[in-house]
Amino acid sequence: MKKIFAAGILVVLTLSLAAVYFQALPITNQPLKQNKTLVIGTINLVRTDNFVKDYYMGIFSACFILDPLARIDASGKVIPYLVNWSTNDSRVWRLNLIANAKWHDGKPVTAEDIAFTIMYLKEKDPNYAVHFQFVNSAVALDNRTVEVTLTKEWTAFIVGLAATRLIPKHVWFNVTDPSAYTGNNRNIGCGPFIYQGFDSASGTMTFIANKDYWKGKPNVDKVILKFYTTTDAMLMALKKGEIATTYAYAKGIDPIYVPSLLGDKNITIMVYPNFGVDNSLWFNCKRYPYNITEFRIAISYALDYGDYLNYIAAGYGEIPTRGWIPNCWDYYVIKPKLSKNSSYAEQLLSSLGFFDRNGDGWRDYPNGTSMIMKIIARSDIAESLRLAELVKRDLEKIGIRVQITPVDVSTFQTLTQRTKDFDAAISRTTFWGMMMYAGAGTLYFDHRNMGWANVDDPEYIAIVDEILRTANQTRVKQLYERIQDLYAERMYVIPLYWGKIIQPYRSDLVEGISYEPMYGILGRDTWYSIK
Amino acid sequence: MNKMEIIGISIISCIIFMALLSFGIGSIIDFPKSKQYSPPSIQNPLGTDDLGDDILELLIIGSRTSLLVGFLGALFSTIIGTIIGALSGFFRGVLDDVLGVIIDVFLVIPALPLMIVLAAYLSPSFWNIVIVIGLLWWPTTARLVRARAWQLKSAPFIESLLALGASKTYIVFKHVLPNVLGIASARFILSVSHAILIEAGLSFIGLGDPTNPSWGTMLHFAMTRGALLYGAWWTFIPPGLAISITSLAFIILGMGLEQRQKLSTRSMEDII
Amino acid sequence: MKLKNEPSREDVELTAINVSKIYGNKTLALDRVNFSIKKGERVCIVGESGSGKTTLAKILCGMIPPTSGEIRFLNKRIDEMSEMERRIFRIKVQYIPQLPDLALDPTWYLYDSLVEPLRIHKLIASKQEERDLVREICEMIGIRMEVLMRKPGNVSGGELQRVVIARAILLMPYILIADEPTSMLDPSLQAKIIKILLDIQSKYNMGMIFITHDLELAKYVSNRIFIMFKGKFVESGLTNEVLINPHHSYTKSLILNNTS
Repeated sequence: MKKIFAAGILVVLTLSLAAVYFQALPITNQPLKQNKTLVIGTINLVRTDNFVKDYYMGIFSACFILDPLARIDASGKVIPYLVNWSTNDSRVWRLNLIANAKWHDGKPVTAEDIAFTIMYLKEKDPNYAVHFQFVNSAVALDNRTVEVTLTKEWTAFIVGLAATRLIPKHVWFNVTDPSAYTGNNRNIGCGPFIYQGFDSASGTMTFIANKDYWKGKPNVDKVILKFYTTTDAMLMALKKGEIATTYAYAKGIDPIYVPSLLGDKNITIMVYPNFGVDNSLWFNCKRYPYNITEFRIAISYALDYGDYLNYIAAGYGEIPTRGWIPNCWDYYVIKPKLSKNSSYAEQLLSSLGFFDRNGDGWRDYPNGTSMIMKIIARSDIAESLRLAELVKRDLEKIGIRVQITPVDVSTFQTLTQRTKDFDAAISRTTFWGMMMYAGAGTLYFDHRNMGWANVDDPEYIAIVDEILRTANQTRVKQLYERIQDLYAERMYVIPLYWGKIIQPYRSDLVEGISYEPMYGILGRDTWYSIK
Repeated sequence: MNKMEIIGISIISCIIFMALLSFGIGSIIDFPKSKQYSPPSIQNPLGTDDLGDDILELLIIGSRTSLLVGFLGALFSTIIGTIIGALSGFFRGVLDDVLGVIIDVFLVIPALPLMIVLAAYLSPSFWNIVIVIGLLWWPTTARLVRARAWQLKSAPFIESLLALGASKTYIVFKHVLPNVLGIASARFILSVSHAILIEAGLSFIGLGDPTNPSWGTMLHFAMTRGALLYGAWWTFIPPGLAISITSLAFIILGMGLEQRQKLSTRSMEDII
Repeated sequence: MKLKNEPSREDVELTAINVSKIYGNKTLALDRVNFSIKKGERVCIVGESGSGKTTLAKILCGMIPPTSGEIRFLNKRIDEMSEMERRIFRIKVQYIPQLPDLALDPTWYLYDSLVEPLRIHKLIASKQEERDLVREICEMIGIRMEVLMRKPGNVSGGELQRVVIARAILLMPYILIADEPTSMLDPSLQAKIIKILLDIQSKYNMGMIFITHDLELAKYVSNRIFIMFKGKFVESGLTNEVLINPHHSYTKSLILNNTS
């Protein structure tokens, strides 16, 4: 009887879910503007407030607590912030502290802190092993000058400065394992906000404005981050006015939610260009048959890009070009738009010897064995799985048997970055990822680096090497243009759609939010532009 | 046949019919792809989901996975439970002590959270879900079968076989197992309902196999792709009802079978 | 049907020497019992329920071990027998239980249950031989062949008891122990079953132990009688002598109860 009762309850619950829709949403509108507290919702969950150990704590500390040495402007260029720089040979760099910054505990920021941060992070934080991979030494020459010596010529060194979160030497100099450090001063920085605390039970993190910030006090007194496990819950809170806006690192909200927000007159939706490539189909370019350029090109003609744009990006985006690099980059070159041409794709595959040899309706390898293309997709990202499903249908229409393997984030990284045991993968890239290494996405391509695409094409490698050592910006731009030719001709990766960053906020609670490619609305400009 | 069995069997036949229909779908009925989250209409009687797929079609296709996982998971757990229960109940001694401890440990640990952990640890796939259900849902069956096997051990026909010198393994497989089948089959039917609910639950929280569409997967994508906020009730009410009705049907049938087994109310409570 | 190393029937004897049985830690079911039976003998053990009759029967056929004392078959302790000797003991000493619900596996067809002992001991060379033997025995005992195509739940108590008897007879035992073989049957059937058992006994010259609480029956079937009371034999001897001239007060009360 117990079970019948339970099942009955289940029926009732299901029906009551429907009622949620019809229920008028009560607006508990607090004038957050007045008391100058900004509440921001996020699904980037922080588990522990150690910025070395916790990825998202690292992001939020960069947004609030810790200052970077350099910044990225709206066009994606690296510009001075705490320091300015100069070099003659791209090997020895002089960094000059140009800001009169003070740590939250009152001590002044010095060149010693900068030299310490560079060497300490390079040694202790795996994220910086890439940023500072060619750094040999960093020495403070005086209170305001640091000399950094690289092992080789490297012009992208300054990109690493934009990622550097300056930490105080007097806190960290004798901490051997920063990811395990729990001292009360672990979140002291020189940024615009002072860390106040993390309440994991209620899922909130609080920051207080730093009155002594070297650029002046931010326009808000307090920022509260509220953590949500689902986008639904977060946007429900936005509708109710519990949060003023939402945040996701290098990402907006899933565009499919836009229609449900459009009806609300208090919610404004900003659409920003996405410097990362929203979801591409990555081939393992060292694995047969994905190492065959014509094979990859054939697949690019099998896909229905319009569907991806409509069903996954809800129309917020564009059909990408064969050049992969999104059109918001200054070095973007116009390339032909990707389009579907199934008969051409089929013809190309057959001419390569990939046709049905055993009569089961599926294409086989030229040697007669049956072919299955295994696509890995992140199981924790719903749109990634849905996209994989659409790609699978498109490929099955031209007779390629596809198996989707959902994997969690760490398995995804292991397969794509370490063991390279995959056929193809679906994933997006971030602005920061596009900047790193030699830029233009090389981080994701070059088999010697993170290299999801596992590209060892000598022509590509040669271009990457030249970018890495070229200081002349005109030449670098030429090389970026050349690299887009290769992307288009060789199709190492097929971009599936270029999305937009969709950022909703409540105009009755906050106005004047600024946006930058790296940290989105939580960039430094926002704190001085919001009202 | 009693009334409960008739109700249970008729609902289950409808769902099995749905599952069989799923093999012909596309050739028999071709639901058009439409705009995402279209409300119910003539072309799409139950509306569409985030990919513009027809909900009715998905419901029919999903019945296959839900039922298959339900049956296989229940079968797997019943086989494990029956064999372990029969061996443990019949052999007693050290074997029973060891198996008894294992049964108790599995009974004490909360199965659902462990399933979630295990399902998260294994990669999401159809067979992993079946294995997870099978590995963790057998102890109650084992306990019931063990009690029955224990009873059987002193039955005259078993005693006389022992006196005849028949081997114990022979007796377990030829006599004890056939005699616990009644209790195991009633338990099996109830397990199907549990397995369907577990599959739905695991799929709903994203630990199911997203490539094998099931009712739980439908709920998962409705929840993760904004259907709730969108107000697309047609994406989650049909699969939710389908899960409830199916598991209810198996519970009703299981209880009907138990009446036939003439088990006491006490032991029925244990089974449930 | 001949067993390898089959002993000649002339020296068959089943003996219990000083046998005691304690169940659990307390209950003394048998207290230093001595008993023996030879081929061709018909012996009765009489006692009320709980006196230890069934325990003795089960110990005699090796179903349960005694707590102390020994059981000897063909002058060999059964717990010291070799595999070969043990097999012969198991085949040649058969026990017919009193008829409860689960005398035979309820999930098996009666035919399969019937021939199961033959199959376990691989005594039959071919299916044909097996069928012939079954037909012969069934004819003798009066079982219709179609009854064997059913399961225990679908036959009457009398039919079931005949199958149980047939199952024991099929092995051609030297010693047959019948434990209240008729107690669960209605009186008209009882006589038939007893007659069958007596016919078989004389036909094959078996040693047969009847276990009963019924003195009339004991008088009818046995040459020798043992009176059991609280786990002990209080009196034994030739049936006629014991019943006409009882010495023990318990025997006297039994006779009194029976006649009244």
